[in-house]
Amino acid sequence: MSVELVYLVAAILFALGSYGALTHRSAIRILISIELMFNAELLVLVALSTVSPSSGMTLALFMIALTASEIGVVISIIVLLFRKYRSLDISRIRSVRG
Amino acid sequence: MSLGIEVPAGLAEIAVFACLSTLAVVFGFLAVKSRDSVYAALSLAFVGSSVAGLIALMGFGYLAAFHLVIYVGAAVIFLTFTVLMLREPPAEFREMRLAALVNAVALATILYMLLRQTFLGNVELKENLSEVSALIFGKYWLAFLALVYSLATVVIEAIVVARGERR
Repeated sequence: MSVELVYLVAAILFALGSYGALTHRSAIRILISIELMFNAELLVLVALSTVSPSSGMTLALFMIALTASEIGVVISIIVLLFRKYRSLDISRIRSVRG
Repeated sequence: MSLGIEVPAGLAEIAVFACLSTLAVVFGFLAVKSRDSVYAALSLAFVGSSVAGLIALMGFGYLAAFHLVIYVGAAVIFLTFTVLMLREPPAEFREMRLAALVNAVALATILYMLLRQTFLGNVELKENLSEVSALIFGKYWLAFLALVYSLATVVIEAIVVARGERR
């Protein structure tokens, strides 16, 4: 399988994610777009693992686990913001101070 | 049941790759453009599944299973349930659409061109789990410890957020 085609898919996914992150107002939609970009990055990391498969796989495992915990942290912040502002529109959220 | 048609291994691999990459891009588009946030979150789950398939196709079966179980099965489904609970109406920065589109096209082109420079050829990858575990607990032990702490932080954070509801 050509690695070049994997790069192409990753580039398209990354571009779609960046488009979503720039155009959406809702914090949760921005998170979804950023997650799309994460998937693109993971694809590139795995495709680049031809240099050292074991190191690449180890880094990819760390990346997936860290992203899972990142989603937990960001969602907690989103829930707290929703409680405070009754909205997830980032243009209305002025401060995250308690 | 066999139909008696022999598909060459290379051709089957290309067909599966084409299907998975098309699915990833289509669901990626839906994740960004869906009006309903629930469909966007579900599309993200399908993107994750397609990416896991592509990873498996590259020779990393264990990593693909890990991605499917931890990322799609836990993280994205958690995200979907949060979207279901909060039910925020969709809103966009309409004035940003053109700039974001130009940025996305430029980004995709530049990224692809840059990544092509690092083209490493069509190499068959083989995962070596014992070597990976030796790396995690040996060379990368500090990173592993930081990962454990960050996961523990998420658990504590979830408890704090849940307790905050009672005030």
